Amino acid sequence: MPEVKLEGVTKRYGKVTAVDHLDLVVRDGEILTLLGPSGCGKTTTLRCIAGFIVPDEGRIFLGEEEVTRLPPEKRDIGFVFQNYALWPHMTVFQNLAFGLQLRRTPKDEIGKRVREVLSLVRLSGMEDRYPRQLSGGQQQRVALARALVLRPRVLLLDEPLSNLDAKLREEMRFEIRELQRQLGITAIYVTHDQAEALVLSDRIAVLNEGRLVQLGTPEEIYQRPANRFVAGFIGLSSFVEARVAAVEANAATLETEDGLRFRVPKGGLREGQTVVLAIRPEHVEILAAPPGELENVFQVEVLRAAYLGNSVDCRLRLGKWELRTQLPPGKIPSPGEKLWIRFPPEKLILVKA
Amino acid sequence: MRSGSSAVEVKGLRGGTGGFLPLFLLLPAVAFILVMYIYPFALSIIRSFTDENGGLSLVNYHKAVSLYGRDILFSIQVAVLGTLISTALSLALAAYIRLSDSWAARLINSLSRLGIFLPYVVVAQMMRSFLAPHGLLNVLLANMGLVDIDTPLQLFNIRGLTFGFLWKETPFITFIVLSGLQVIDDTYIEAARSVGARTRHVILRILLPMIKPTIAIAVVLTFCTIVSTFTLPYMIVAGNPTTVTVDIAHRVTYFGDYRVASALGVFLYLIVGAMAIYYLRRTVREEVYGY
Amino acid sequence: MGTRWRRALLEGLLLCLVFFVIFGPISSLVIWSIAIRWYWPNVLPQEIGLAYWKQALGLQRDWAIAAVSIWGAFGTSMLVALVSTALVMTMAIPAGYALARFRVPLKALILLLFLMPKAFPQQPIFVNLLPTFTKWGLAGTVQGVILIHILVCLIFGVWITTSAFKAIPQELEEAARSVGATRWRTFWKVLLPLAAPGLLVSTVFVFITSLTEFTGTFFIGLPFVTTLPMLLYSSSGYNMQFASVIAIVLLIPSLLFMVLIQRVFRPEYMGGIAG
Repeated sequence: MPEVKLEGVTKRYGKVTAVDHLDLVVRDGEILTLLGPSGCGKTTTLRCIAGFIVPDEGRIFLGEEEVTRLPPEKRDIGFVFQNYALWPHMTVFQNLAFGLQLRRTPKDEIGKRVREVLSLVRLSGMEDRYPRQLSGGQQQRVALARALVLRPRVLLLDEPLSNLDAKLREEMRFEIRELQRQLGITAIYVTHDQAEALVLSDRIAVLNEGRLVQLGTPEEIYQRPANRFVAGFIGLSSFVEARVAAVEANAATLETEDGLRFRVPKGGLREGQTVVLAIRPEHVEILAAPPGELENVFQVEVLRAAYLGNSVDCRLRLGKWELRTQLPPGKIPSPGEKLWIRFPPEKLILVKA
Repeated sequence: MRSGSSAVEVKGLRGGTGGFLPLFLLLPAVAFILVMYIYPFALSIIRSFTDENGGLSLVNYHKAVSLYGRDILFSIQVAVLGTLISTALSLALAAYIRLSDSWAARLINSLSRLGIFLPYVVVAQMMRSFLAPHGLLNVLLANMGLVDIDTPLQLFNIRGLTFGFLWKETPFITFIVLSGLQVIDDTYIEAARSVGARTRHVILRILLPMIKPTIAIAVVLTFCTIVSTFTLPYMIVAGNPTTVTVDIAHRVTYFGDYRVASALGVFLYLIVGAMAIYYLRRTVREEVYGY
Repeated sequence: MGTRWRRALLEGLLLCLVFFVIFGPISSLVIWSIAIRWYWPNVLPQEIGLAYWKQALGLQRDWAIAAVSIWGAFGTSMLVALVSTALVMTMAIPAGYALARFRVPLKALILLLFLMPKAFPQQPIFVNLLPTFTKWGLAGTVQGVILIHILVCLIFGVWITTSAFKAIPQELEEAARSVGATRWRTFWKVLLPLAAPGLLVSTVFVFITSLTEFTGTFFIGLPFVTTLPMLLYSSSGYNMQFASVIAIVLLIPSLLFMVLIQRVFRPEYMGGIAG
């Protein structure tokens, strides 16, 4: 299974640059997610790899072969569409068999391969149904099966789960993950749902405005976001801007405009430098009682609290900043209530402004 | 201000109550059609079975077949030929326009709309001047050396007639088929390409099968139109054989013979028969039941 | 890269063919309309001029050029078209409203009535109306021709108005009703204004259909009623130039309509015209 390589891929639509000199390597057998908000260029990139779009600049390689201008029918890819694009006038069997027929595969071989892939996606017995007779989840699996039946060298998925309801989406994420692992097929997945990306991917490529912002494993992206955009896009974050007030060998003291002081165990900062603290909701510790001498302890005021069933979503005011946190289910604080919180210093994330 | 009544309960919304109002609104149009269409339609059938003494007989049909049998076949021939060729051309053209995003395709699309809007009288006159033995087509061909000056192409027959019908009907079918194709999302085509389909596969295995009903309706309407047209054959076809519609005019204007003319009319009904019934059933079903 | 050039070449050839097929007959018409003398085998007329146009428009009278003023026939055509259109729309708009918005009893039957003229040949109808019209003194009169034109146009009128009304989401009317408007009020203040473009398309289409109608007029109108299409037909046999002039005059409204419909275009309207 070859890798996929993009070199300087650029695509413009009039004045808008959808994909801006993108360099990317997808490793053999991994599943890499292109993640970003609408308009970030992830779908355009995927379609360039598929061959539905020809980039204005740059090169695309599937393994050793350059495919930049090769038409899609010659690329040996499998594509799963957001709307599934199952041909309505064909049964499930015919939908799956179509590609094999085009390659003049003998009939019994076709039957074998189709039934094989149907059992892979757990839809055995549905061969003679028409797409309109299937549920959304079933259609999605047929779309997946159709992409896989030809044993392509790379599997491309364009937000395949976005038309499903939340519960089904969660289930299907794992199924797709398992399927990909089982087959060992190189896959590129596009989504705007960061939870999905975190569950599915071996690596995530975060895109914004056509550019690659960060490339890394889900843990790297979540724990060490490269900048404010990534920190804000992945997981929930509250942001606090501060200036470096004092520097030590392996730590620093930060001070905000309104005099809040934080201590972070991070070296290499310069005095006077502006940094942004990204605070994840799960990194806010609620203290039962006002503390003694602890660093990074503040008193906050509750702005809003919403009961979510398994947690309580709170908005807190810290000085002039607004924080978001999640409390375990139990007593729901009322607006105006004062709480004491602490930020474990090692959990604070510093990002470039 | 109304209070307490939900929208659905308010009379007449979402076709809530039928009742007299819609019938009242439809009355003038329906009455007119009944008097001006259904009545003479019935008459045409009755007259065809009536002999000169007012009795029931098939004499008109015998006369129609013996005098105009050849023309009945001619009408069928023109309709079949015209329909088949224009359908084939239209399908190719529509597929081409759908799949190509060149400026040439867009231009051809706009140009081809012309035939839809020009009336048959104008088209007939155009064809008369274009296809005449000394008309523009022959003049161009002669000057290019493709045709002998002394024997220009004789086109005031089935050939010219078919060309005229093609000119008028191909744009129509192309438009209908293209409308159907435009509704097909690009992803269905891309999906086919992603499993290795070349353009001809995309057209023959995906696009056209997906719009079979649309194509069927277009074919049926074209066939019925060609059979029914009077203007074009009347102005283009010289001599024999000619279409049944021309014969009907002939029968009425020169002989005042409404009975044989009606018999010929019934032959026309029979020719379009199956097609017309198919069209009527489909359209009514779609309008009333939504499929 | 070879395939690219081959494709471009084929496309170019197709374009040329389409141009030739479409504009060939049209240019034949145009050339004839300005030809004074055109003899075989010249590609272009030996002598061109606007004499036939001037004659047709009544600007000159030269017996050497066998063309008459078309204003008479034009007037007849216009009169017939205006009256027919007015009467058709008076019937078609309520009918369209009923079909679009109500649960109509016997709907299938009524639809059948309006569809049959499209599927079955209309010529036998005209022919069998002739004796009746003669008896009633309508044959060869403008009134008779108007009745025939209404018959031909009513079908189109009803279908396009139905499509035009259907295209307006019912929620808009429901919103009006829910704030207390009566059905009558809602029709005039909400539905009609919104459907107006579609109704306009319908009116114009009906008008042009009447202007260019030939078959019915031929059977009922002869020999006294001369519309423009009738004039075209009668001169086509012996006077190509004059016939071409009339054909071009008849062509213009259709072209204008084509332009109009592109701007107000909604596929639903074509649904009414086409299927």
